Amino acid sequence: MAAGFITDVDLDAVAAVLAPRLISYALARTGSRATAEDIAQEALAALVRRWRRDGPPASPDAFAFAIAKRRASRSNARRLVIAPLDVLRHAAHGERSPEQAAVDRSELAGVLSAMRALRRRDREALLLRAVGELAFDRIASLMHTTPAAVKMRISRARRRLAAALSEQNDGRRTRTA
Amino acid sequence: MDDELEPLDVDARLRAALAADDDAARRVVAQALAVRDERPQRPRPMAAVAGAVAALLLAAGGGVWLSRSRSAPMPPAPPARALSLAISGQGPMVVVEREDGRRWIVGAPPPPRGGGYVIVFPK
Repeated sequence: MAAGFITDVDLDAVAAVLAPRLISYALARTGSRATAEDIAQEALAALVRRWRRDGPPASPDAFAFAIAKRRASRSNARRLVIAPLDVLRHAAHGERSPEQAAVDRSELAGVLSAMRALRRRDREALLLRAVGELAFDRIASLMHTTPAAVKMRISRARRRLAAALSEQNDGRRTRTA
Repeated sequence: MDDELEPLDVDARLRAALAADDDAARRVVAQALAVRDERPQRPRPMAAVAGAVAALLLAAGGGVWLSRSRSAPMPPAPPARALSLAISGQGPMVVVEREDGRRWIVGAPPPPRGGGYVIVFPK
């Protein structure tokens, strides 16, 4: 190990803190809990390998989220390709996938739907901040932009998301009334 | 969170909706920590640079050697090999045979007579 004072205990603690945040982030990006777990695990495994080989990176959370971000993008791109096949398969059986049915019933569906209305980069910045809990400069580095631009994107995303969620709530109340 | 003035209830709602369950998080951590570094070690940057420089030098040396060997004058051809002679025969007559097939029959010099010469018959 490169840094002798860093022990596996530190790595365990960092991994334990990062895992739920990575899962949440990947869930927001992909909409699938199974995929989110896979992505979180891959990102953490990469962090573990790097840590054991060369010592901890300057920012373990930024390191892990950079990998999770790439994996999520790749997973979404792959799903875009095979999505038509999935639609056909479920249409043939006249049913929704069990996963989709579960998602539709939950609060998650509303949040994911509202998130989809945001601009892609605004959504990414908000997720890395609110779920990933990364500092502005780390987010800026991950998104190849400036911290000021990140703050602006996050602020705009919050306003729009709040408005979208509020509209959803109003709609539900109207339907139940 | 640093210098964020907006109410963060949206963030809280986002986190609550996306929250991972504890079992999943524990599973992910356990599997991630169980990984071994199976990938072959990449060469260190310095080693890679040294290797590249060595390869470059080797290639440059080879190029120089090749260009010199092409531009150098051709070495002189080896001198033509002298044709060997085979000598056979019995008695006072011998047959001298060259590699290219030419033959001479050489006899003992005749007793001295007027002219005193030797007759050579090419065969």
